Amino acid sequence: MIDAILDRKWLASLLFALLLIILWQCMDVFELLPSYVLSPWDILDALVATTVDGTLPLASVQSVLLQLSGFAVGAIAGVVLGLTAGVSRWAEDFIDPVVSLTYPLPKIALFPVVVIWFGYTDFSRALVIATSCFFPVFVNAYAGTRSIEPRLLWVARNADAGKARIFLQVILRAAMPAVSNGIRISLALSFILTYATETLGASAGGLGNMIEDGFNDLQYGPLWAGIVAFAILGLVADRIWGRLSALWTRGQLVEAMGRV
Amino acid sequence: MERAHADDLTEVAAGLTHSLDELSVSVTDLTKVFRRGNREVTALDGVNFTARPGEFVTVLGPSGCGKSTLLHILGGFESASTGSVEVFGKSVTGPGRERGMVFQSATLFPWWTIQRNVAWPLEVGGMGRKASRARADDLLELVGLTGFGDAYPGELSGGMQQRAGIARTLSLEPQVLLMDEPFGALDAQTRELMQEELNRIWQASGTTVVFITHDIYEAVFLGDRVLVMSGRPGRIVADISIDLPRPRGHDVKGSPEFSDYHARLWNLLRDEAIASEFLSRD
Repeated sequence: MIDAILDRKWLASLLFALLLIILWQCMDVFELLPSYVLSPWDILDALVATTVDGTLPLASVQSVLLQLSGFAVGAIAGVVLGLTAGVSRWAEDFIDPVVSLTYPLPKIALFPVVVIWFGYTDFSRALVIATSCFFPVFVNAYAGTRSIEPRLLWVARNADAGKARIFLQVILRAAMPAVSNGIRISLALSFILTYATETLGASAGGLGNMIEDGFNDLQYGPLWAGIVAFAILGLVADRIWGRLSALWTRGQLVEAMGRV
Repeated sequence: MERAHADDLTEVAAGLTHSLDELSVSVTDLTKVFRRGNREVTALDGVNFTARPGEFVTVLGPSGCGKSTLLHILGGFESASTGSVEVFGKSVTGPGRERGMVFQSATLFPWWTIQRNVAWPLEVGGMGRKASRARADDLLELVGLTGFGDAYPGELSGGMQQRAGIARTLSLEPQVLLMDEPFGALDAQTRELMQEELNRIWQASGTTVVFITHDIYEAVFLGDRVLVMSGRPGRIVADISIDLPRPRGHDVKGSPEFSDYHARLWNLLRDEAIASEFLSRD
């Protein structure tokens, strides 16, 4: 019986999550939770309330727009420059030292400078998010391109394939799993940075602001509603990307794990 | 179906090898010197040999004797330091479709199915998607992989991957097939089966084959001729014709003639192997 349930992985993990939620709810029933930790039921209540009055959907849309714009710019720049540095010695000499120097810097530390320049605007926020998202994608795209099995390139040259074809059909495909991993890391980072930049400065809007306001005004309902909304958005984004990249890298997944 | 296809390949090969006295492969005074820092390592030192169209030549040598380097130069992936390499009268200056390489590992593109892998060189050559896939299916049949076209390389065993790799190289319709210890990474049973398969495929295709190995059984079983290479720097120290009847089945390996060839080659190779194992450490 238990084996049968464990065989269905999603069912097992669903049951485990359900168990934790029930445990959490029980702690509330026995008054073991502090006032600022709401029970699952109260959080559901807050989610419904903030959805009905429109604050949660509005904040979610604001956050997702900010997150997506920063993430997209950073990820695209990371893919383009990472692949370029991977295939061109010249570009590598140019880009790599700059990236190595700026990589360890926590990009959120640049926010004050950006704000002095562009003010507390969504542009400033997106800029910091993009900068953060750039690095994991760049590093992975670069490494993925560099670590291509040289014999695969020989196979392509044996077939007399042109440079553009080799880039698109061999190098890019070979680098896809690494690129996809970098994008996945950046996707998670983009939510973290969205929250961080939304809490800084007045009238930012978005889920980060909603959470911050809840904290300042002791409104734990909206605070928890914002946290849960972030969790759901992050999960959905990660799953969508996971599915997409599995389509692109199916053969490589098979090679790595023996099955899909 | 398979028979018809085999005839088809033979015709192609016959068309390419119109002149019988033309040499398929001609290597003259080939040397290769690698520079490692300010040291020079001579990998090949005055290699000479020729192969006739449709001939199966095996190159046997101790490890590190430069036999892979020789094949890479024939393939056009490395350049010779001095000397000349010609294939059907044309000087080799880079990789080309008329010289198909098969590596020790199958080196299939893991992101494509087996069928697409075999069809890809045809696509590159300008054949349409549908025609190239139909042709790939024919080649997969030739190497005994019918029904595996939709599998990804990662789903196949090492032997099956290598068959697919051979089919992909055959799709180039090469005049010369260059094989670099293609069965070296396979287990003993699979290797024996693959040797028999290769015999069959080669007889069906009629291409010239230059086959690198360190396995004496393999060299004798497959080759019309066995070239024995010395330890580094590599030179060809013997050129032995293998007059065993064709087609060769596995039973030929038990024949007294086979044992004679084996003993003769081992005598030649033994000294070279000892030299490369104990003397040329660097």
